[in-house]
Amino acid sequence: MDKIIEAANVSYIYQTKYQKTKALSEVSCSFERGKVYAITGKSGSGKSTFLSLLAGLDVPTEGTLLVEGEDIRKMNRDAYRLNRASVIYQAFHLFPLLTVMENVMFPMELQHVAKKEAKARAQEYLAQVDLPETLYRKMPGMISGGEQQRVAIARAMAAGGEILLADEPTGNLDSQNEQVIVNLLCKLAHDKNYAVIVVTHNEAVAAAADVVYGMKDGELSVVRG
Amino acid sequence: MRIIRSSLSRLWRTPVKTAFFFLLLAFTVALVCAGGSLWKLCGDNLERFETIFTTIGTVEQTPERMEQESVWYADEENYRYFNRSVYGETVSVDVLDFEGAGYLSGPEQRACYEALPLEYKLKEDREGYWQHMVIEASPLEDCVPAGPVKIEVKRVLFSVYPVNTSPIYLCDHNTEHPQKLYADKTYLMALGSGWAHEWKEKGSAAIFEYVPIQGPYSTQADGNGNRLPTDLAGDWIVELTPGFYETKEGQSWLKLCEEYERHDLSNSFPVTATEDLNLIMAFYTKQAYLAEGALFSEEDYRQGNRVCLVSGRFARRNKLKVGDSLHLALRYANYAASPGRGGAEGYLNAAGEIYQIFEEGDYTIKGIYDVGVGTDGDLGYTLERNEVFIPKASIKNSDENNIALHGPMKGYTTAFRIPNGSESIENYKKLWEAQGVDNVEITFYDGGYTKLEGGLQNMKEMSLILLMTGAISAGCIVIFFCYLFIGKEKRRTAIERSLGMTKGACARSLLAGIVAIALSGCIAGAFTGQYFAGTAAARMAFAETFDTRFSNGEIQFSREHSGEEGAETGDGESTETGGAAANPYLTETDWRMSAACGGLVFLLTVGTALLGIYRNLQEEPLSLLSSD
Repeated sequence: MDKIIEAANVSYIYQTKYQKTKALSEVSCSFERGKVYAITGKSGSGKSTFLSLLAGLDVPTEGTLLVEGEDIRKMNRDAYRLNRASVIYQAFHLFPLLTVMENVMFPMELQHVAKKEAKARAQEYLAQVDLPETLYRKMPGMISGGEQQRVAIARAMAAGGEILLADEPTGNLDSQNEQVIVNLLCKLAHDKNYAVIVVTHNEAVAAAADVVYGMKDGELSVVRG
Repeated sequence: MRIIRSSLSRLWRTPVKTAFFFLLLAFTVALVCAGGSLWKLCGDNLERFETIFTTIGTVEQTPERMEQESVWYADEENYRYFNRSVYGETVSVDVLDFEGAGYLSGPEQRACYEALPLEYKLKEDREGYWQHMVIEASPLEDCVPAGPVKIEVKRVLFSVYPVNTSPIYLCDHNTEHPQKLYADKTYLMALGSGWAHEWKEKGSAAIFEYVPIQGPYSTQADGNGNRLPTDLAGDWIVELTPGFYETKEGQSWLKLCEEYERHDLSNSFPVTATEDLNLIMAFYTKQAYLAEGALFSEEDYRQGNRVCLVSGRFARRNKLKVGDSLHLALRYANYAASPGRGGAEGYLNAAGEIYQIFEEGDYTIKGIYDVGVGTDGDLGYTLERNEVFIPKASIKNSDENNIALHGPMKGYTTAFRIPNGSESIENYKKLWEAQGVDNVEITFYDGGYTKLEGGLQNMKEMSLILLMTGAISAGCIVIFFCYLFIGKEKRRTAIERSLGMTKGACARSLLAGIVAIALSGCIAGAFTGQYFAGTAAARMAFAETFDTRFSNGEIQFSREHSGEEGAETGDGESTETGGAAANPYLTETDWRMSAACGGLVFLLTVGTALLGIYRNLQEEPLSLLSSD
């Protein structure tokens, strides 16, 4: 088995000045390369918190989260996000003042890739997500939601990682674009060997996944595996 | 570096917002810098004026009443009437010594001392001096000198000019009923050249005649200004009897002649002792100004150093220069008049004796002054041409027994100095009024300082308002634009963080843009503010006109700018120093003030931006970006 992420009894507690809230409770699971995972559940069930931990934006309060056997607490999590794990969002979250091309080039700039090379690779990724060349120099606000999400996926690919985390990636899209994005994610997992983990309410997205987890009150269970 | 470039390129994609921030920041920085520079400039000017202006008060005892005096004029065979001031009891200068007066120097009622000439040459010749004499004479025939009568000069005891003619004409001009003179008697008489009866009709062809002047008399006073009793009557004429010169009265006539000889022919010169040259109006108004050397220092005044200032005329005629020694032998004091006005003191003391030297010493010439074309000459403020000035404290011995004349305080004898400013003057006036002395008048001279101070204070307040307005506006603009450029960019930070950018890199990315605009805005604003401040300062100086005739600032200013200590003049009576204004204002604004103001606004911007960035970085990226 090609496990890339393994969670063992992961709990997470939000602590404010006045109260503590247990967002995740002893979650244990693992994720492999080449598969699409869907995590479903109601709002507030803890899906996004789990995604945040998987993205290395925070660390578990209890339990261990291993990335290829290495405890995420001990890792340089900025480097982890830069080189190994990318996140796409429902609202796309492209930089509004950068062109489509510049958005895709951005992670490579952080990785100090030469501009010329970065541009060539960006064009390649954009071609892979079937974005017309005419849109490369446009600002994100000038293209459709489906196109923006494809740019976001291209940006995630540009980082060159092997983990793609998606937070309701089709939430703002029509059914036609939804299908395009789902196909893209599946293609990334199956053809490019990414571990794709999708947090979603959408049944169609869940149906396309290889493994489906359900999240309820911070507890994770296997729905289909 | 690429992050910063990317950040800057994003700025150019919001040109309106960026331009607004730049322009508004530059404008407010310009306000702050202009306000700050002008505020400092006004402060510097006030400080400067404080040092170059002085405020003095002259003191004058007001007459108790006026009396009409009738004087007989023989040529008109009628009386002329004159008003005469009657002062009553002399008010002591001590009344000015009260709590809270805050004098910087004085109050002093200055004495003018008569000094023996010794080896000094004071006058070129006797041209132009008033002829007076003491002679023995007899009328050619019995007569009453109610008009010109001929008298035969038998002996000259004293005369300014040689008496080459005899007989001469005598007229007791101001006595309606003169005493009868007899041809067979000889009289001792004091005469001065006087009135020509036919002057109006014949001019210079009129008869030259002599009139009586006072014989031996004394005006000696004690330290309190009270006149001492004396037997000397001051009669102009006495009948000469055998053995007369052996009598006390005869001796006093001989001593008078001796004193005339010493005083009028040897030309004794006046010495004025002061605590502060600024108290002397001629120096205060710069009618008298330093031509060479230096004025007295604080130490000279305080320690009573034996230094002196002499007039250019006196120095040139005696070939004296700065550093030379001048031997002064002081004999008597006149507290009633200024040397330029001329004293009316009797030359003998109350006992009929000649005053003896009470203070003697070698004084080093510290400075040589010249006198410009006069101002206020009629008021008694004009200097005597050979007047020598010394620090008051250099006189170690008391002049109490050598006061030849004392009188009420006058503006030209009594003055004090207080700190500059209307507040200081008002405070003094208030305290003075509380003393309840109603027969002493004080007149203040501040050389226009109060007007300048008022204008500058207003300007300073306006500058402060400009500074505060600019600072508050700058603060608001900085906060607003930091909110736009940073506070509203939380999502951008979150995306950057989720893409693996470190917190430091995120901070640099956000800071780069705002620092670039703030830096350019602050530099542009500082230059603009500096320019406006300079222009406003120049206009302020140009617009503020004042009469420099009474300004101490003008001379100081012109010297500073010419790099000279004083102007050499040909004969010591030149150089009109009063009149139109040379401007004493500082107009050069301090660029450091603008730099500091601009720098502070820049630091405020950076500080606010860092605070905003810190708050951005505190946000959980996924909570901002997530759909959950």
